[in-house]
Order: sequence, then structure tokens, then C-alpha cells
Amino acid sequence: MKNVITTFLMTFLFSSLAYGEKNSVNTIKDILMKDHLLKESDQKKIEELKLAAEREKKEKSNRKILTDEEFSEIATLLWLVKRESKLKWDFKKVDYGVNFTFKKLLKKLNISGPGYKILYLNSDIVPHLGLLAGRDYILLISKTFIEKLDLSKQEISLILLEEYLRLKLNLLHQKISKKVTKVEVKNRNSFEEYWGILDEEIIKIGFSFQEQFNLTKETVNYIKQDAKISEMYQRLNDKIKLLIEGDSQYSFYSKIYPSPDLKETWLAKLLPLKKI
Amino acid sequence: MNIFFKQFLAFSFFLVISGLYSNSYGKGKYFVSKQFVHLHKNESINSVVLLTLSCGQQVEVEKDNNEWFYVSTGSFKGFVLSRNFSGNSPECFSQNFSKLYNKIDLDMREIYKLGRLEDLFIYGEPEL
Repeated sequence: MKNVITTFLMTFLFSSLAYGEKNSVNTIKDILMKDHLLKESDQKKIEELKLAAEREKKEKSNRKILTDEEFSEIATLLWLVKRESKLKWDFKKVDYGVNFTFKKLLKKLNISGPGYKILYLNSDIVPHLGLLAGRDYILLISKTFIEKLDLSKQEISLILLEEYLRLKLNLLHQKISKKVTKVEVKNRNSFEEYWGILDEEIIKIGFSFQEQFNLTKETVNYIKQDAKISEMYQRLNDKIKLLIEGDSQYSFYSKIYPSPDLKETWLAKLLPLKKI
Repeated sequence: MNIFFKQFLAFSFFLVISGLYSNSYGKGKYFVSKQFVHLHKNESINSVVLLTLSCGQQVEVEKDNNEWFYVSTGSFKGFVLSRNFSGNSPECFSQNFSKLYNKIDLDMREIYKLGRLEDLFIYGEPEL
């Protein structure tokens, strides 16, 4: 008895489903006929088009295209993870209260742009650098560098400002995107290649004189109206220059960010306010 | 009378704003919006990590003190930074590009570190 009822119910369910589907197709067909949009001869073509559209939709959902922005977001985060042993960012969080000061500085200088994430490093390998991760900016700054220079919150904020502007000028990622092999679909090799290029550009090659000059010019454009900040910016450069001259551990600094000596000359021209 | 009316308006405005705020963060179901985030024993990023949650995972928020959520997921209960959640189902790399994600083949240490990164980032935004 149970089986009979189940069979009856199943038959009823499937027949009604089939009827519903057939019925909806017929309704569409009737409407099109009424509107003189469908001739009998066109019916086949329309059905073919329908099938092709469905096939395309299926293929698209199977093959979502990874945008450069999505790729850079995940690839940059993974680079930080893969290079943790060198960068040494996994240590007890330090808080110099820099975020508040940095925000205030951006506001004072009328700078708008994407959100940022500050990450302190417990190594000297990258003293300071801005990385693009999707839409966000990651601002790396070395705790040991800060401590060796005995930087104030305002001075740290000025370094972060330079890095923020470096990202706005797209100085690093322009070079990276030129080196990355263009492939239609990203694969595991795309990540390996991206990490390799980041290593090379950040740790070995660094920035050219022209790039560093453009960055200095851009920073000066924002700060020149404020004598106090301008003076602090020059003092900061002097501090960095002294550290590099006195500490052989930082000899690589001039290679990556050329060069405090030259920057001093540029600043003397760009910020003539300084009384020497 | 005019002053009372102004005060009433200001109070109503405050109520509306606080209502909006409590709607954006509060008890209920939320989704993890970052690749990986840590569920901590206490309200500190340096406290013991009980579990690492992955993007898109749903949790029940039991308490909300703005910076931290006290959440439950499965048999685990603990604290997670509230900035790592969204009210709507997020776009997750691991879900949208699952084939590529599997090829990256992250190990447990790397998954832990991705969660740690989210704890250590100091978030900010220009206020203009």
C-alpha cells in the first residue's frame, strides 16, 4: 500500500514538473507569435541561439577571470607570508601611536586615496616600503630602523607618507607589471614569478635616481606650504644620511633608495626655506 | 520652545545615527571577509589562537564591543577582530578561484601566518 502511494505521488510530481516546463516554453512561444516576432521558420534559429547562450553562461561561470587587482592582493599577501623568515613581521605588535599622527598628516596635507595597512618589520632587510595589495596599500616599516634613528611619531609618519606617495605614483608596481609574463589564465607559476620579481625589485634592484627624484618632488609638492613639516623632512634626511655613513649594516640603503646625499641637494633646491 | 525643538531634533538625529551604527555591527550571523583570521581565547591578538577561520565562513556573533566580536562557530567560542567580518557573503579568492587556490597548496604554517598578518596590520584611511 505504501509503495503504491509513493509511486502515485512520484508520478504526479514528475508529470506536473514536466507539464510546468513545457507549459512555460509554450507560453513564451505564444507571446512571441502574438507579437509577430516569431515565424515558424525562425523557431529553429532561436532555439539554437538559446542553446548557445546557455552554453556560454556555463563556460563563463566555470572560468572566472582573475583580475590583476585580485591577483596582486593575494600574491602580495602570500609574498609577505613566504618571506616572513627574512622580513620578520611576526613579533609582538608595537604601537608607537603612529596611525593617528599619520592620519592627521594626510589630512593636513589634503591627501586622499586608498586605505592602508601598516606593518612593522623586526629586520633591516626592508627599511620602509609601500606595497600594492588589491585596492589597499601595505606600508612596511622596520622597527629596528626606527629605533636606530630614534625617530619621532612625526618622522615615522613622513616616511610612511613617502611610501604612500610612492604607491600613488605607481613606481614599484609599474616595473613589476612590465616584468610579469602576460598569461590569459593565472597559474601557480604566475605566483612564483611574481614573488621572484618582488624579491628582485625590493631587495636587490631598488629605485632609480629618476624615480627617487620624482618621489622627492611629489612629497615636496605636498609639504612645501608647511615650514615646520618641510624642516622636519630635511632633518629626517640628514638623520638617515648620518646612519648610512656611520653604520656599515645600512650600506645597501643608498642602493635601494638613492641617495640621501643627492636628496640633500634636491631638497636644497626644492625647499629653499632651509637656513644652512 | 525653539531650543527644546532643536534639542529634540539633535537627540532624534543621535538616535538615528546610533541605530544605523548598531545595525552595521551587532549580534547575529556574520561572514569572515579576509582569507584567514584567528579566533582568540581573549580580546588580544597575542592571546592563544583557538582556531583559524577561513574566508566566507559563517559565525554567530554573541557579543560585540566594536573592536572585538565574541563569536561561536561549531563547538568553538572566542574573540575575533570585528574588522575581519562582513554582514554579507564576501567575494573570497579561495571560493571564486578554487582550482588555482588549491594549486598554491598552502601548508598549515602559511595559513596560520595569513591569519596572524590580519591581526598585526594596523588599518587606516585618509580622512578626506
